[in-house]
Amino acid sequence: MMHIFILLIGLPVVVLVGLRVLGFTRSRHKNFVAATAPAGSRISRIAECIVLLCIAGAFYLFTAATTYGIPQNLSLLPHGLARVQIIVAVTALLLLLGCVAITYWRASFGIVLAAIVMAGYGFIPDSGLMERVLPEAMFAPKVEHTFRMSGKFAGGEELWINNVYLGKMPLTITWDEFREKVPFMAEPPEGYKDENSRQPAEPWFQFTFWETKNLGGSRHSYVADNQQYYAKIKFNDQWAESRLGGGGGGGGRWYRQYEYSFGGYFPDREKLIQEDNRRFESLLQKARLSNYTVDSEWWQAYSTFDEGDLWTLRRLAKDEPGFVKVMDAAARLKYGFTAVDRQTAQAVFERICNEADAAMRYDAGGVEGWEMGLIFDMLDVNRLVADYSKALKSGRSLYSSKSGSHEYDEYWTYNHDPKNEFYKPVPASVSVIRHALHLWDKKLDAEQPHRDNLIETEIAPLYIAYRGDVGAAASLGGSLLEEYLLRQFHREPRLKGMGLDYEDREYTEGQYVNKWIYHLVQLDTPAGKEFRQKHSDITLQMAKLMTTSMHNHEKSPPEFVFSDLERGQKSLAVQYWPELSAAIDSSFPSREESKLQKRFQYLARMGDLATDQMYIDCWEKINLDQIDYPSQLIGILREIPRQRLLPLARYILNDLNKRNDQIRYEQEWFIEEFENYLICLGDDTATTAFLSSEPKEKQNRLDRIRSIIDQYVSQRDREDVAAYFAEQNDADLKILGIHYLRETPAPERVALLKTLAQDTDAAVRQAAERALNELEAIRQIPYELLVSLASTSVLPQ
Amino acid sequence: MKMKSSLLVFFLRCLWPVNAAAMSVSILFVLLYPKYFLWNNAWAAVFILIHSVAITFILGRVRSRSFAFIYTRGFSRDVLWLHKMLASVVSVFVAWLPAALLIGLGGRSALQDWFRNPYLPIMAAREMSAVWFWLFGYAILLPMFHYVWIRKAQPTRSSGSGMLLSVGLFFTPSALVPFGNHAPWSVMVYGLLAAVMIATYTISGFLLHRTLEVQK
Repeated sequence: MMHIFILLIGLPVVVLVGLRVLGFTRSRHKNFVAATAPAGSRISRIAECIVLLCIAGAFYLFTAATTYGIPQNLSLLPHGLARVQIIVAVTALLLLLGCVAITYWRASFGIVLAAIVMAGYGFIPDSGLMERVLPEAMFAPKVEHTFRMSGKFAGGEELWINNVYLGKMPLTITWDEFREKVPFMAEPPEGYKDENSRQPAEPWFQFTFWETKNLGGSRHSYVADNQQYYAKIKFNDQWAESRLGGGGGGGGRWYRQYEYSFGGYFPDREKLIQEDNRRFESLLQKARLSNYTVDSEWWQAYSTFDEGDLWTLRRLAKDEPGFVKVMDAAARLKYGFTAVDRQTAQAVFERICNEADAAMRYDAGGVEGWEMGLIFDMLDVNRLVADYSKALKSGRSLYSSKSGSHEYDEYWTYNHDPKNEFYKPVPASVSVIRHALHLWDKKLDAEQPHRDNLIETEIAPLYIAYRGDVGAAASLGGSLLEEYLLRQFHREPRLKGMGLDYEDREYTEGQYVNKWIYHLVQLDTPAGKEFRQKHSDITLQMAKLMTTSMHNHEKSPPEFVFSDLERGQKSLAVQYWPELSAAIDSSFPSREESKLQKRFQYLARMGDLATDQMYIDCWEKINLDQIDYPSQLIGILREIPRQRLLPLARYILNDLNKRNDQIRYEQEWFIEEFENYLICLGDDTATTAFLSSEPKEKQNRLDRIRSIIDQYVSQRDREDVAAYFAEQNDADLKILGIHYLRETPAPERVALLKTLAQDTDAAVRQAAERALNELEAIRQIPYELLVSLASTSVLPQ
Repeated sequence: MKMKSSLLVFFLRCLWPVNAAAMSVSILFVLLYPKYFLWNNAWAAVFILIHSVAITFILGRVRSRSFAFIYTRGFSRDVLWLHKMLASVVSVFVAWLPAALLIGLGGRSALQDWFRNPYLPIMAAREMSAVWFWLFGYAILLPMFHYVWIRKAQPTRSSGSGMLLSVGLFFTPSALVPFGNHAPWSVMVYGLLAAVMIATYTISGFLLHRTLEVQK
């Protein structure tokens, strides 16, 4: 609207002025200047040249450096095209300087000429003109392919593709070079086919390679085309066994990058890997044996491993809470302090900031992130707020990219590398500050949930005002943000659709929804709760939109439906259950066990609001003839809370017995396998039946029980299983229990092992003593024998 | 050069209808504008353009009686130029300062909050940068338009080149602002170029003013 207004006013004015200046229209005043008068004084000529230079300079710099379609970094352009761009830019600059010189002689003429030059320069580099004039090959993107081997001790392997030796990995090669060296083979190379197998003969394997092809005619039509290529890999005169690999990538108009990762087994290297894994496992066992109390020697050895970051410990801590203590200790040991005071905290904070700046990345899930959790409340929150406000107002990117895992969506790794970034990101220490502020916000929210804290009043508004990032502001909360969202909602209450203005919509799950409602329903604050109660119909509609969207293949429910479980039968989770259960029928994967799993997951999230009957109703919907193996069912039952698991499993067993005609394969084995699972859950009836079985059958079932525990029983639950087995009057079960007690030898498990070492049964005694001896041997291993091989030995290359 | 308050008052008296209107419009505009101000607000740009044109039009009517009158009262050309510039600056502040105070001290935000404007007070933090940009707009437009009339009144040909350059200056931001991908350094470079232009227009306007022809 405004632009039309400006055009309507501005254009006629410009045209009139142009006509007047060029003499096409006459002034009503008589011209008093003599025809022989000079065309401007020296001062006016100099001034007009300077001004023209400034105006044209702005235009020129914008076109040369930032015009759409022209990369800012010439090194990313194909070489020939970069040269052409430079020639055009230099020519335009010379013409521009010429125009300035002409302006000194005849101002109007020079100015008009400069306008023409600038318009031409703005138009030519990105128009189709260059494409028509220059050879097509100049517009081909630069494509690089990188091949590497995955796994421990990788590097230095020799690679052949389509029988052409390419070199040692990791190896980067351009598409042009690759195309020249490696011929495409419609048929596999000699020696690839194995007459006796459908698999390729050793050492060959096949992988998908992304060729770059021009579909014809246009520089925009360079596409990636997947083709099958044949490779073999050698390392230290050993060909890789069990090879596989693949990759992918992509990029922009001018630069594309593909990465291929190959897996493979080299016998010599595998020995090293096994020894390294044994050392790593021994370190973890040492931590368990010392009741999760570790010292600096332990940490020094642990940090020599690639896995020696906190992620491994974090995963272990899910099932073994003792490892949280190890993580605390690791963070303190790394940063070299025991007690936290303000001065130490500030020094550690600065060290983390400096290290992050130097590395140009910050891992909130790493040791440094865990350390922040230990020291943040000793830092000056006012200073953190001031520093972060400055960063938000700076206009620079808050990071160049961030990565995380689905497993831990609260921990991100922030990359701050400015290379190839048009808008340079702020230093990585800003991500450290952000992390500290989020921790502060959580702490203050927990202390005073109904009062705005400093971060909510100072930082959340800046996220909206300077970054337009409602999501980031919503993660902090605060009454200012809540009021903002509510007012926006009253201004635009429509739930979805393309009819929503750009500023009012959010693209999620493949659709545009109302941004304000989207954030209001997810708001984890009292105001969010109030909104969800007051507008429960809108909230349920939003939940439905987010679940039933065609992009949400799994039909995962949004988190906010579980936000008011305390409301009982009025809670969103209860109200939404029928909708979700119906939606799951059309979900993907569409296998029966997958649908059952999704329903059980939802009911498990409902906690006590989910009745036994609801679980049973879900079970009864299942088509048993679609279930091929009992393990498919056992895997799903892990979703169910421990206290509800046994009664439900018993119900399922009874039902399986009743509906055994619906079981497709080996009904007896199927049911027996489920009975084995019940033994792991501590079901006395199933255990008694098992104990009374024939010795041969018992041994067979014992192996299957072990397999079930290994695959489907979590570390945390294995302790209960082991304790239950240890209580039984059966040596085999006790010995199996000893196996699991030895696996995670925390002190209480070692104590149980010692009890079993006094058992009346000699086999049990021996097994327990052996386990204790093995554990003692681990306890005695000096740490220098447990450092990673990668850090101590020169590996063969 | 001494300050002559009567001369300044004379010029301000000439400008008062324009300034009274500009102040009223700017106050009402700032108080009632329902969205939030960014530096590239088109309505504010139009307002500043019109106000600047009006100021220079009134002070630069070389063929008017008042112009001829004041240029024949014995004031030196430099004194006249300085007082015209001062009158222009005062005019700018008459329109800009109330707006800046209303935004900077939170009056606009409070009123709009009372109206339950969804954008305020949350966006208030960002509006002050727009206010400074408006001042920058005046700083570049006023010397330019003053140069245009001074150049036009020179006893030389090509008198329209000043106007032609002002058209170029109108077009350049109009063409560049809508693009989103300006380089991070561009603000500094554009600022520097603008500073050079302001200085050039001001100094050359001052020097050329000495040789302008008064006609009646």
